[in-house]
Amino acid sequence: MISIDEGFVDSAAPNSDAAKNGRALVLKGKFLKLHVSDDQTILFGECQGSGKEPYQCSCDFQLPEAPTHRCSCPSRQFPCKHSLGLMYAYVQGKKFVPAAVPDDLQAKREKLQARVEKKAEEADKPKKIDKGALAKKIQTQLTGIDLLEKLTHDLVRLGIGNMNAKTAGEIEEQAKQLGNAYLPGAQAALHNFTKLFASEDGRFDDVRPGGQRERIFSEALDQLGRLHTLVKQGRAYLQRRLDDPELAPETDSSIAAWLGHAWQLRELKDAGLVETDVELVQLAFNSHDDVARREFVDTGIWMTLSNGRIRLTQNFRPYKAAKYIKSDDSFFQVAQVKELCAYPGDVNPRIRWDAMLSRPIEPKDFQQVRGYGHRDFAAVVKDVKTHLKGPLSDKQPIHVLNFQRLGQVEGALVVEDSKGERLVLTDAGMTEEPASCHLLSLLPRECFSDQTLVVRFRHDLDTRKLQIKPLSLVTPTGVVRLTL
Amino acid sequence: MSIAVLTQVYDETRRLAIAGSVVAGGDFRLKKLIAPLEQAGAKAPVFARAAEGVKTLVESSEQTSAQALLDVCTLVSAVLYTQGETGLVGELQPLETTDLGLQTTQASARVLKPLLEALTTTGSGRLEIIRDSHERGAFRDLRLVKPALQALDDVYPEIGEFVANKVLPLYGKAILPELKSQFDFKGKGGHPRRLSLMHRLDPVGTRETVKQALESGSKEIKVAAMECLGAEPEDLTFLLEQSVAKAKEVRGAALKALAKLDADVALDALKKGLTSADLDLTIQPVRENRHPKLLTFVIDETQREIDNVCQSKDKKAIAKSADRVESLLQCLDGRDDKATEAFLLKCFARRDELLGVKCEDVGKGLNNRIAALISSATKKTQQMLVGAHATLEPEVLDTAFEAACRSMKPKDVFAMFSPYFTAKVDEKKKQKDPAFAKREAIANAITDEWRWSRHEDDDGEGGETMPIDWDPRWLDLAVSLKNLELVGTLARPGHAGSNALLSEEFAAAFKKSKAIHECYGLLATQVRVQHPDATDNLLAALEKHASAKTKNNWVGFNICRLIPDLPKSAIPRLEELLPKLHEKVIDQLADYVAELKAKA
Repeated sequence: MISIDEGFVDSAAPNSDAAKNGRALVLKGKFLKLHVSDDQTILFGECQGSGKEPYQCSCDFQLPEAPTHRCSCPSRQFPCKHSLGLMYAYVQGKKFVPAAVPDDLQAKREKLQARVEKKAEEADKPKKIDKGALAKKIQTQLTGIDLLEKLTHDLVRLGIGNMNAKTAGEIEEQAKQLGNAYLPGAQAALHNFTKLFASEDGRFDDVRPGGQRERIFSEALDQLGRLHTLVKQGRAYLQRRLDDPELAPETDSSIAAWLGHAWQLRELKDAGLVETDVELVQLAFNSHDDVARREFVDTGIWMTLSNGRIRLTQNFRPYKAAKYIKSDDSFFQVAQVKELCAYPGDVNPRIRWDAMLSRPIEPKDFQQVRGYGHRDFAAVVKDVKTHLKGPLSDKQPIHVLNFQRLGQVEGALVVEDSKGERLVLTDAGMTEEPASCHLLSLLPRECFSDQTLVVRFRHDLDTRKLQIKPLSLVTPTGVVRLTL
Repeated sequence: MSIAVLTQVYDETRRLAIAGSVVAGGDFRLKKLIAPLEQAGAKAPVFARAAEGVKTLVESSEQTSAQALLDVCTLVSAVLYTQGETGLVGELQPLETTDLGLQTTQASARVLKPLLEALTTTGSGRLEIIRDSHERGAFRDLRLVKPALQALDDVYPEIGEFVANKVLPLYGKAILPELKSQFDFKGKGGHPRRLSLMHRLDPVGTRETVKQALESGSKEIKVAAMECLGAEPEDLTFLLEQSVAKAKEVRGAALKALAKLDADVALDALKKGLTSADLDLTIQPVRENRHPKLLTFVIDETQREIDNVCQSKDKKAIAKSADRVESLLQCLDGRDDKATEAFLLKCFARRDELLGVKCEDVGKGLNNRIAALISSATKKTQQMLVGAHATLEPEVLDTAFEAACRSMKPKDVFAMFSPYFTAKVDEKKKQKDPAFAKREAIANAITDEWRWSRHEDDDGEGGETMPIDWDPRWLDLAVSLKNLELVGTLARPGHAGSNALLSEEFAAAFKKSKAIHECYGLLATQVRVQHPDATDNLLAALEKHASAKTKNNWVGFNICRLIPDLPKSAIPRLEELLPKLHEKVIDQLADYVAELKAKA
């Protein structure tokens, strides 16, 4: 039985235009045939397109938590408007004639079934490693590391005060070679350095005024230190793997991710990083334009209800493919995930899942979230500092704090715990989300005592202050999101 | 103390990293730090490592300097990261909060994004998105406060105005600090809006800013600032000075502010405005001021100019006086006091005299203006105008009719004015027949009233006047006269006569029509009155003029807007018809069909 509604189809659409076009196909009567299988697990039909032959489209609900959409049209959008139209026709009550699934479609379904089964089987089999290919790859990566080291040292010798548009542009060019050397993570790290010298639109032809340049020097030096550590740790890690091809990618540190290792589900499973039957609540969401990486990044900040861990979902949409990749949206229910993959990482590792169900969020869930908030600021600050000293650590970790009072000291916003420990709130230096501090003064007074705050920590290298930025406020009745 | 050394090391390495590590070899400042580091190293190994690193850096060559610098830097940074200062000493004051006082909502990112883009980017169609979101209450989301503030400076001034007048006041005083920090005294565009908004939200607190704006603001800022004045006695002198300023906008703003004051000198300035070339600038301020002295002045001045019109022989002088009377009369618009009432009645009594003025249509024009004022002033003036209907010219009869509609029962209006409808008209020479002109005046008044009551202004607000209850017999008359425009106005559901006429007329129009818009008027009436054939006729018109076989790929917004008003029973038939229409037409109709489907 296929149980979908209009909202489901809307959310399946990669963008609002695709949804509109899908609806219009139904109105235009473009569906020549509408069928449903006898066992009510697949919708299929024919839709007249601009060509002579109609497109064969189908929506397969064999796996209800991960439907499969197929269409013979050449569109790169997924699902395409024809598949969406087919689902709209179904939810709008158009007549779907029960019919036998066509042979070719049935064959594809069987293939899918077989793939799922094979995947399950393979999950238990030990993985074969092509040692020759792996050695070759690692050798290329080591060459890439040498290049990164050379670039970093050149930059330090040159001096960051002498960086200009031309140098930054040249470094960007050379950074492309890191991508070819299977080191996309290292490439991104180098981007993070050069982007400090880019204008807001990502171009390097902008000469920054002196004051602005001065402000980025400390950050630039920090990034160089990071690249330096990446070279050292990366080389050691790759050398270890070269010496022992059987060695699995490291999961107790984030070095593999820093080098750009694309974790596969299986590797995560082998490393025990897959969790089952997890319930998550989204505490914040933001979608920002990473000009240096030339992609949009949708970040969801989630708390696992069973243990209170804060982890992130990240959806990267490169400019060139943005049209074809569905953007993530903020989520207001409880996500029920059967199989959740957690990437190796420190405080807020990345998580991913392929399929999920949802249930309405209830006051007890908010209570649970609040229950995980840190009550002792001194303890959480100690943890954060210990974490921050790692050169490759995430420099803006997210934590949940239970504060007793929120107020002002000489104009600065401050939260205080029950022991009188204070943390200062600021927007400075945290640009991933829009500014949020100014929104606090718009909240009702009851939000300023005994509440839970989701915050991002940041150590300012110039002022040497560790401060926080508020992302959301969790009250007993809901999550007040302060960022987008 | 030891941490201070590390901080020094960090600062020095930072300096070298900026200048380039090639100059690090032999750096004397770094050298000086080795000894204290070694000393501290006896207690904590990390200092010893730092001392070692610094030594290597000082002794480094051009080639090895980068590595050495980065080693020291990474080590020292790691330690400094653990020394981040938290907390803040001082008394914790409660946060000054301005609760928005409205129920806030949390929209999804996908909903907020288009609105944020509309507020922060450029391009067409944004005002509609913003207005629509405002109507749906989407601005009750805290996260929109800042983008809405940003929109004050939008390149499209209508967006700035809309946000300043409708959206931002929702947030109350909470936005004042942000408004103040963004405000530029020399600015244009959004900055005058900021000032007006700050004053609107907090007149007392903005007083100083207003004063400063008057002293050193740009012309636009000064104009906005002047409109904020009037509450304090000290404003008076300044405003008086500005009422004779060089720039017209400044004079206008000063007069507006002066109108809020009752001081004699302020009234004198307004009086001066009324007698000078600034008359047009002075009308609105005078209309808003209710001081009897000023009213007496306006009445005397108007009286004098009317006398001039009636008595002068010089056409130029007559025209000049007549222009001034037209403007001065506008100052009386919206007043219902005894003095105004008496004066208007007196003017009305002189209508024959005015008609006799030998200067083009000056007399007629003034009589129309006076009649318009009388029709809305007081009950007494209305009665006077209505009572004189039999003696009125066609140009004024419609005004009397409107006054009757607003002050009398529908059946009495019908009894009084329907004879103009049934009066015999010489059809051959009707343009010269006053009976025809009077009939048309009444018919036009009915249709105009109807249109005006349905009119929406740019802000989406409803018409200014309340819809009038018409006596049902007007429709019978309109049907018997086959006046389709009037039938379109007065028709109501279930009226057999009008339904039959509409069917008959549609059949003829449909047959002749070459484009769908030729059938629009009749279709719109049929849909409005739920004519039994409305759906059939609209579908037939679409099929004839917008089918896939024709070249017409555009049906127009008006036709589309009829669809959501069709009965629900039309949905399956529409869905059946749509695939037969031109693809582009389907795209145009799709949203309206969805709207009909979404109706409960």
